[in-house]
Amino acid sequence: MIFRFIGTECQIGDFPPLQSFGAAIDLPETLAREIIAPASNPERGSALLPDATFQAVGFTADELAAHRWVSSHADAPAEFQKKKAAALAALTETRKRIASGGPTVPEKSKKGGE
Amino acid sequence: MAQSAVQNQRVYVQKEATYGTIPNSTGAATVANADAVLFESLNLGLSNSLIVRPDKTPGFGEVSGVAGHRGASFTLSGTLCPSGAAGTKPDWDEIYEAAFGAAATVVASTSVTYNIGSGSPSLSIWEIWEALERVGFGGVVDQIKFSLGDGFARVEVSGPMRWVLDKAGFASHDTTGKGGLTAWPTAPTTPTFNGTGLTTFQGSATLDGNAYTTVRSAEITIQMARTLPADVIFAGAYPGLPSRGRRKVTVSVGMTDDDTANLLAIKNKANISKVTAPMIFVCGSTAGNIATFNLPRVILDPAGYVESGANLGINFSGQAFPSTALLSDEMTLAFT
Repeated sequence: MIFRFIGTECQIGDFPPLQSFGAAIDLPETLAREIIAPASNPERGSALLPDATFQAVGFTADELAAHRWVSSHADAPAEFQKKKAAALAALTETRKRIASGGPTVPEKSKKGGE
Repeated sequence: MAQSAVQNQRVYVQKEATYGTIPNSTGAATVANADAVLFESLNLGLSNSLIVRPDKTPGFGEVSGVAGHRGASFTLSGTLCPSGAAGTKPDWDEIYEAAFGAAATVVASTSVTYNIGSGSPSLSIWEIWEALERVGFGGVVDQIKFSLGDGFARVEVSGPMRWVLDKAGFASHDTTGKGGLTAWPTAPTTPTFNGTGLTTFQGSATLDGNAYTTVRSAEITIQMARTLPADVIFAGAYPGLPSRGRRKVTVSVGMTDDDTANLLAIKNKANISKVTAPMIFVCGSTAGNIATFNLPRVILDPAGYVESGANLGINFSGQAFPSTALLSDEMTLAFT
């Protein structure tokens, strides 16, 4: 299952390190759920969004190319900032959903995007 | 025969729901990939001293003794590292919660703030090498120290623990020494680490309301005075429940001396008036990767001068105080 990274840096075992905003990674869903919303502390964990959820935020290819490195985000246009805030909000929702035993990807996104 | 390469050490940290009980599900440890933390060094120390029977013997020797009160200690150090996503707790969350004594306040997508609280949460700290696996449990943080010098910002925590259980000797430990486990677990195989270590190249130091670009180092220490009593009787040989004493938050700052009015005001507060001077240190400048130390009421000791480098340096050290006798707001640490 494809996930997209929205943090600064993440290393998951032997997987290639995630160091750029929007980077994609193919992870077993069970592992992804464990590290996105750890059972013991769901507010901690990796900043990964299911690809469908990430796509729904609406980042353009140009935006992702221009703001690949998080260090550029402080000076990014308001439109990008708005989308990034939406991505972070989606991460919070994803964590809540996983922590409550719900699906990794909301049913609505599955129908529309996967 | 396996040996352990020094570099190949993994550490997993869990908060205990009950002091002295390693997090478990019906005896099976629940340590998981997401409990992994990046760190610089971990030292788990074990103490199990012999107490020699004091009775006289006709042969003038001593009667071999018995194992005394048990106990352990830990010191863990690493790089100060936010999660990399604003509003997400850092990998070291359990450690900070154990140090500050309260869970962080989370504002979704925005911030994670640690305020000093009245609790003494305990930790289980797993240490996994190739040829050695151990878990120290019932660990309480006595002291946490943040060091802001040239390069990476660093943090070190230390304190007493109840005991250290090891895989090889698991069967030989008694029930209390097993910390609630019934079997040794398989170590998680995909440790996960989040965030970028903070350096002091970006950020700011605001002392007494004014920003300075001449600070060379700062150190903030919270001494929580948490102990595990080792003299309780009729309660087994392991330490008793955590207790805490008088807290002390201290700060020291090293900077280049100058003759500005703002710095003179700080010197006068330190040397003469003992009026509080607020201090704020910010490490980082990228959202999701910023740490802010806020000490609103610092009373400084007299300044000391030091010849360091080409220019005369000045060192301040002092103590942060709460705003009222009932509060514990000497400092906060916020990740934004």
